[in-house]
Amino acid sequence: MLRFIAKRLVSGIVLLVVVTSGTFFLAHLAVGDPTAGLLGNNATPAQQDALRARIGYDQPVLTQFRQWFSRAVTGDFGTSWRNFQPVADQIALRVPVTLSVVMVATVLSAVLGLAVGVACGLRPGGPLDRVLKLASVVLFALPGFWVSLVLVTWFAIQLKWFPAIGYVSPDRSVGDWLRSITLPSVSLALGAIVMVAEQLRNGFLQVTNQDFVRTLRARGLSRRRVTMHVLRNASPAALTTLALMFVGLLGGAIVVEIVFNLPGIGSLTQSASQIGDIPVLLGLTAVTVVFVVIVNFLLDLVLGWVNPKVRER
Amino acid sequence: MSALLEVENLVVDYRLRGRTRFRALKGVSITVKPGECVGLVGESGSGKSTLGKAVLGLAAVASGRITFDGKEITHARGRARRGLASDIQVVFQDPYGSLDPTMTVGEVLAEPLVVAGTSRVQARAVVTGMLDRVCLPADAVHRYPSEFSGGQRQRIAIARALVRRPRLVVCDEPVSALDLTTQATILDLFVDLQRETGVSYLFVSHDLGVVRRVCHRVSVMYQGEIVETGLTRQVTQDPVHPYTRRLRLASPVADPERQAERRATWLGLRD
Amino acid sequence: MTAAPFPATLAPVKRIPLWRRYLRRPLGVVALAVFAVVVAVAALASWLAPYDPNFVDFAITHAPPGNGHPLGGDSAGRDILSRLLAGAQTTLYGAVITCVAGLVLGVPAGVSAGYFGGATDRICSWISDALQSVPGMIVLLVVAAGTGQNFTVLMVALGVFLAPGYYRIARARALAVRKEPYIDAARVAGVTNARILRTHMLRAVYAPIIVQTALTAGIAIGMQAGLQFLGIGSASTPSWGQMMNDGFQNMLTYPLILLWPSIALGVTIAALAFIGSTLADLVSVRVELPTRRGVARVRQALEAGTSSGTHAHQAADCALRIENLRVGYASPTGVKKVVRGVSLDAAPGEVLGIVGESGSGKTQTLFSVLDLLPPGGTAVADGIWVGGEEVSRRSPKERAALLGRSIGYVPQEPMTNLDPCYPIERQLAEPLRHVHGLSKAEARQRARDILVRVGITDPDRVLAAYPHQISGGMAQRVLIAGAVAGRPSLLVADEPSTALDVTVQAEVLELLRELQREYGMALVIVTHNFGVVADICDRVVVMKDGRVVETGPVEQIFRRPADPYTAELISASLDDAEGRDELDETWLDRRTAQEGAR
Repeated sequence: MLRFIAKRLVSGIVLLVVVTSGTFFLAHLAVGDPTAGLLGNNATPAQQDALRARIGYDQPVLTQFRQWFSRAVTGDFGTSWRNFQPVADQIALRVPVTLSVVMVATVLSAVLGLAVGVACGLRPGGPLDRVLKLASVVLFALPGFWVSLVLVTWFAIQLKWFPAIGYVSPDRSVGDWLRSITLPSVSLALGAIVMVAEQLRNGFLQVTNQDFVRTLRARGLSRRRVTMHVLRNASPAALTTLALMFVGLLGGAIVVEIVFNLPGIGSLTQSASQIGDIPVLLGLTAVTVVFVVIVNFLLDLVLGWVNPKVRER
Repeated sequence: MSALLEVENLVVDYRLRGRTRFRALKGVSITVKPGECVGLVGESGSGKSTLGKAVLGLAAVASGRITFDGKEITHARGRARRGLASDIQVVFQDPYGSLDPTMTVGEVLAEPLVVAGTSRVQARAVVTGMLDRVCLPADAVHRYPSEFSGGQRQRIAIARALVRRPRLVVCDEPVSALDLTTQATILDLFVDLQRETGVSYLFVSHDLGVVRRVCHRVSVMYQGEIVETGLTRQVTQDPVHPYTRRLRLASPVADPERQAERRATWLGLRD
Repeated sequence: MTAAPFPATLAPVKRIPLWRRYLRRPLGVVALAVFAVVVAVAALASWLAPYDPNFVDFAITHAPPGNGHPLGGDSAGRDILSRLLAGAQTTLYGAVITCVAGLVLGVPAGVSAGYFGGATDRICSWISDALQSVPGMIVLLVVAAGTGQNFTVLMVALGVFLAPGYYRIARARALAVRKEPYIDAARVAGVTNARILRTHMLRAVYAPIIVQTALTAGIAIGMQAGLQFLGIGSASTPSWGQMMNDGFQNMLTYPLILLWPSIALGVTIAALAFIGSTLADLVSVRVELPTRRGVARVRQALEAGTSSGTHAHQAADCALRIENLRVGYASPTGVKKVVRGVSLDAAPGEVLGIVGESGSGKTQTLFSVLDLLPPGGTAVADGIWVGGEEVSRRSPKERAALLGRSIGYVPQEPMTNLDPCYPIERQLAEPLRHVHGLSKAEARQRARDILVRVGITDPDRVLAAYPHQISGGMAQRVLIAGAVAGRPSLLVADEPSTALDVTVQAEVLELLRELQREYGMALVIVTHNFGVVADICDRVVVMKDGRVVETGPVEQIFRRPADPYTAELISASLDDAEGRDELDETWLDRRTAQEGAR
């Protein structure tokens, strides 16, 4: 078990290094000269040179990378090229907002996906199952921001049940916090819920048709007990989907945050990308990859617990 | 008569998960003469299928030699292995998985000819003739494997194996997935085709009865080794090695009285 | 030459092409039509558009529909309809670029990884997994940061992030197909790897890739709109995402501006999604339980039916008695009857064999006794008696209550009949605790005792083991232990020795015989092997095509089979058939005689 954990940890760190380094070079390749974006078109060449020197852009890319990497390893992601604030501080300020939305969306997907998936798996072809199928077809493909625009116009502007925009910290009022993140979370989660449910439903049916289920029933076990066996066997695919969805939700949150005007990492990513603020973008990449690595690690632990065969690999 | 296929001291390892290795064949030797059918009998994990795979180049050989018609083919790969396709062919166990479900029977049978450079017209003539040989109607060429029963598919698989007139066919449990009555007719087909074409068979099976029906000689395998080799009649009726005797006594005969005797002997051997 | 049992003409089975079957699905046709309209509109945008999409007329700023502008004007005074039409062009162009990029990267890599395995697979899979763990949106924004104006590059980058979808599907299919013997057969036939990849492998992945493309196109369009919504892309190229952003800014005052592009985007994506799901339905059948009407139809079809087979005992004395059992399945072409009137019985302490070839209905008969037919199966009988009591009229719940108590079941395939997720102890103890009401400690002790009884010498290790850690023979002993744990009066076994090696098979049959005698159970054993019948059975039921051909004591069946089919089956077991040496002798004799006659 320890070896299993160590292996997953190492692979997570490798992923983190590869992705951030890749993004570093990609960004430098894509952005070209950042000074135009940072200073605007009216800057004099002298101003541009000064800025270049200040942000270290006059150095060769490899030197810049070495400097950035050696500091990033210690957790120091440098300062923003625009306002020269430490990147880490800016991100730390915004991560709780995004995490609130994404975590609530993930929990919603897990709980509702489980409930709907099992209900449909028990009665395939029933009314709920047909609804799930239609819903999964459409909601899977529709982007979260599209859904969120629909939800905003309906629930926030027409019905005024929820605030259309803005974020309330849970420190100030938990109720208002929940109200402020309900619509963003729901619009993010809808697609993930139907995906998890559909995945679980299909896995459930596949397992139901396996031989050992008949044998369990032939031993006289009640339907409820047999269902627990089926659920445990069917859960790995749904759990994997849930972890993949988490990654998707992180990306989707960027656009949804703009719609709801939430001060999360979304607006930061957007503004940084518009002016080519590479340190901020790199910091954001690193943070999200860390989240993904943690989620994948948790997934592996759960999968190992669910199915003992996985552990032996 | 010199041997067509000669296997000497063959060793094959399988890599399991991680670094551990499993020795599937521990120095096995057999010979197959032209026009002969040699049986390989054993239980699961005895290595009998691995030996067939090694001859076909589908399993990597760790040591030992495989010689076909005087040429060494132990490690033949790529072009050299493809060159052997006209001489060595295969019939697998599973009549459902051994034919590409997306191809018509005509395409399946023509494929070995087409890759050898035969023209389409010529290939079609050969395929039609071959279908007749295995007692399938000529219009089967336009049909898909899913339209045929297990026994009929196995006929198609046999036709594919023989379409380039090979000198050796490796038969890997070719009848064990079939019903008993179908089994008998397919075995007869194997015998008939051997008499007509003079092809040799390396016949892998777990069933002593099947082997007795088609094989001239038989080798009994147990845990990666050959424990007994001899004429089929002698090995199946009066085996020498204790394992072969156990194996013979363990398979029930379709006769209540004789089976009662056999079981009594088996129980005596067990205790 | 033996005459092949082959019908002179085959029933004509037509292969209906995928697109033909697609056109039979109304939802799919509608979705395809909608999408075709979008494509047509995009292609003809420059002719259809009433104005230049970038022409600014301040008079129509925020204008409502009308006055030559059917959808009104946007916040910069441009005609919304014209921009919508031009946006369709952008959208579809981007979707095509994305899908092509995903296809080109994902499919060849996936097929090669699945086919070659090893290092190729490990490297490709790692890259794919890594790509899936990267928050694509951020990297896309990074790419957009510098190349914001270059829409094509951005769409290619989007394709890179969607490539793992293609990769996973192609790899999974290739991996499954790689194990099929027909690939090995092709290699032995001298087909090169390149050709195998091009023909067999590509044919196998073709259908799921088409499905995936429809879905990917939908997702690509959504993500593209998301990027445009964030302000990526040139302002002079009209796009739906950009229009939605404009509408979003004026959402409270001019909601119509948001409505039009949202509808266009939603409808296009939904159309693609429905095309994809219809295709997916055609490629893989989604499991659904039969409707109540379907079951009624099957019951009706099974209504009439003459019984076959005889009874040897009084109904009240039987451990099991079946009277005129019929089993049917609903199929698209009608009702498929697999058991057509079967009657049989078995007394306590008797071993009854049900023997027949595949498709004879012997296993279906057994499952009907258990009331555990596979989904879609319906059983009707004039009567089923278990332990002398009629049970066929009882509710499913009451039937289920017999299982584990009165009836024990031994399955065919040992490895697939144990739950892979639980240790053996749990699987043996759970019914003892929850069906038979034993305490945890009692259940464990009882499970251990039974394991010892079925001949397992290290019960503690086996109790703690997971199914994949024990051998097939051991697993079958565990399953037999589970079947007899509740001391049933009737044990039914479905080919209990077929999946095992011959030597293990003999052990298992011996064990079943011992247990049957010790507990005085009736044993009903389904098999295709007359050797097994001769070994263990007292009486035999021979089945063919869902009916009983004959019933009788085992000696009579073997010595004087009443039906020619029984005789044929017995003679087909090769025990007394001529060996190859004898066959060759007769053949040689005949040939010499023929040549002599000539």
